[in-house]
Amino acid sequence: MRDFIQFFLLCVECFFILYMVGYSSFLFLSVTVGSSELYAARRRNQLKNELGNDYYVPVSILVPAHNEEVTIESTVKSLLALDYKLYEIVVVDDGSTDNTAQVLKDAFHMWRIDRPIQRRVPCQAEEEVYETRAWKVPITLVRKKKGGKADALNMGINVANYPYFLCIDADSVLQHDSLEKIARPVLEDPTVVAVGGSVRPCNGAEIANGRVVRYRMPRKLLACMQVLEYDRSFLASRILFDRFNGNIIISGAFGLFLKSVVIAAGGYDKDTMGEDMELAVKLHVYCRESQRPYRIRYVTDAICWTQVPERLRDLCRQRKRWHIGLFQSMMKHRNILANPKYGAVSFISYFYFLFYELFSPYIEVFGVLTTLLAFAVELINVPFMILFFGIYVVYAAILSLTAFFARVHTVDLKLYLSDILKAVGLCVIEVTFLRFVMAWVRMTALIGYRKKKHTWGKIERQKIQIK
Amino acid sequence: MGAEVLLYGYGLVCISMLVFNLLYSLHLRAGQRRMMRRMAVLRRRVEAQLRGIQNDLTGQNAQSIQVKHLTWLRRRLSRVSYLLAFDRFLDEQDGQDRAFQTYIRQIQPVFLYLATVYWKREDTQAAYFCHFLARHRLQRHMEMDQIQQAVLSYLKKDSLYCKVNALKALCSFANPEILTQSLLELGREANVQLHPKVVTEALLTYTGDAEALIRRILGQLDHFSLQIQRAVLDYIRFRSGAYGQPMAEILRDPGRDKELRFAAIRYFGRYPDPSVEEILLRFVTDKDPLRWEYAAISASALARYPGQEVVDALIQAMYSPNWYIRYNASSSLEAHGLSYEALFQILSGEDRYAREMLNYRLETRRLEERAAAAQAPPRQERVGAAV
Repeated sequence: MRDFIQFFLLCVECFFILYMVGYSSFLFLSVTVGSSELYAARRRNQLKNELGNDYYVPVSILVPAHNEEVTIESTVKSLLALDYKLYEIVVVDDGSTDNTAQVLKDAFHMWRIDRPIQRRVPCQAEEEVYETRAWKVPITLVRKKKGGKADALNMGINVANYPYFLCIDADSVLQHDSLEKIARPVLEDPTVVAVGGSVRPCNGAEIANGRVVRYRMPRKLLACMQVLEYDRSFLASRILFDRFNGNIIISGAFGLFLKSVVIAAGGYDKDTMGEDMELAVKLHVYCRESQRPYRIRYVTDAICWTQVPERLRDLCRQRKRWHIGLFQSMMKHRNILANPKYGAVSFISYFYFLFYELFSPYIEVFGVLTTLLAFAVELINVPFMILFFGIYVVYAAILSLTAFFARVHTVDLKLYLSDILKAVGLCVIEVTFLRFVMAWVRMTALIGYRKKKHTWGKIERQKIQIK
Repeated sequence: MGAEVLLYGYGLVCISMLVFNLLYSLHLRAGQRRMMRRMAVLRRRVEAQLRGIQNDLTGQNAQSIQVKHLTWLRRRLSRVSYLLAFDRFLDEQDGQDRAFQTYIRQIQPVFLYLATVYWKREDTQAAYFCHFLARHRLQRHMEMDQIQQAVLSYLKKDSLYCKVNALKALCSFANPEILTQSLLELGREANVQLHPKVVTEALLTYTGDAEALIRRILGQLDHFSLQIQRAVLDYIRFRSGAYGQPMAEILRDPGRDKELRFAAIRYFGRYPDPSVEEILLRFVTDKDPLRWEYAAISASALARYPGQEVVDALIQAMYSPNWYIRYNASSSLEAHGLSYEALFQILSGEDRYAREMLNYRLETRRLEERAAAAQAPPRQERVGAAV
């Protein structure tokens, strides 16, 4: 029996070493590539290697909203302040039970209108449509029966007048130049079908006229740790995936899409909780199956500011939703795995998300259990285990800090001493504490997930600091 | 132990990057000071030359730019950091000053030399050099005929930004022959094709005789790539209504790419021409669902064509199953001055989709009228006040 356990633990050890090496290599590559790309992007910006402001791709901005009476007015106002000429705003109120629609109608003097809506992607029926032409760009409000975020976005696609649409969350604020910047890849490369923008936590930021006038690390520690996490994700790994057209996530908080391709691919999937990831994967599948040349791009300098949860309960709820969405998308498109037709999307992106995102909580918990087993049968070298854990913590912390410090290459983010101290202190806590809490949350996310179909994530909203 | 070593190695590289980022941050903080220092050096040197030129112009101690200065300028401006400083320095100068204009003319050989230097540099620097030329040709009216051929070669670089900036520079030089060559060059590229919108916008910055340019590019139209042809036709639409005949030929030629024919329809939407009315009517009444784009664009174009025949065709288009055709037809009918109420009478009970679309257009117009009647404060102000 002991021999069997010994053999089992040896296999587990080999697996974990390979797993760790793979994960470390990925993180290392993403941080180094991300950091160097940000440096190159800043240099391009400095040397005017960019398209000017005169080229406008017509864009419909879709804002799906459910019980967003606190933030919706400031969100639409921030959209009206964008430095862009050719766009419209479409707010889809998905069966709100609060005053979301009333707030909008009062704030923007909207009038009810009988508008014929062409159903090109399936969605619940509209109840009322309001419009106004009294502002810089047309604003449309569609009230519909509750059908979930994907359903609301599909309604937005049906209502949109322009060939490109941009989806943003109702609690987010776009930077003044973000629309111009996210549309730029479309002009640079006609095969671009979708562009993801950079999402940053706005807790701690002060925004005036779509411009960040002051950005410091948030006061709440949980939000601070999420800043480190977002930096690692948006200033590192997505840039790496972008290098080989392998991004399979475009954040629902900020993404631009070519409407005709999204319609041809069937629109957002109403049965998936992570509709943003599902759509990006679906676009890969659609374009590859129809042998259409395509690019899905990610741009670092198009920025959307979003509120991150400041309470652990809200964060857990959010991450559960994300994990369920990830699971649903991966399962729905499982034929991508190890499919040579999908190239790097299959062998790098899908593989990474499967093993290092979807399975990671189970693998981590399995690791803890085998450690306990090894401890029980006295087959563990405790000093070595502590050393290895220490190396892992220091390494992960250094990577987080490298991604954090990469912000020096972005035009709008500055380094402050107090923020540096916060980042240095919290990166260790994030790796040793938050990561394991989130692993547990994600591991239990799939229990009873089928009941949560068509629900909106509830996070306590606060008014965004817009002047 | 192998895994640990790997992690140590990775960690070491990351620490190096951390240190680099910190040092870079300090470097950036000192960037403005360095820029000021470089500008001060340039100012001192250039002002000494300007004094000499001033004396020359006023007849005292005739003097032109010293060869030593040209050599110094060549060496310094070969560094992109100095070119950036020179860019900002030129912005500060009074372009109308005669001494300054003379100075700029006399340093032309420096730019010719720099054109060869930056061509060999990395693409970002090459693109910046073209951007510099485009900006200061526009603002300072420098004569730079000699370097046009050199800039033409920048179009061969792989960088999109280099191509765009070079095209803008060539547009600012206002030489139709060179610009036509550049459009041919851009079309030849197999890999990086510029978006037609980008080419059109660049052409719109052309500072010379637009008619001469249009005549020349129309003569070469078939030699351009499809994307460039689209861009050129859009440019013509924005610039001049005097090219009805070649546009009509494109419109009538079924062998032409549909995008070019769409561009021609849009042209005739902007500049109405009775000779093409018949073909536009044929397009708008075409029931073939595969040709809906022709019908939709023609429905829009017919807004400026008077006559009962046009109105009848647009009313007919209101029964189309295609949403866009109905939408454009209803807008054009509005432009014809027909009241929606009258149209409701015509369409009453016949077609739900047509009625809905008309109703929507009617309500939209009321919204616009309401917004105007409310005498809302200027839109920008309202937005500014709100946010």
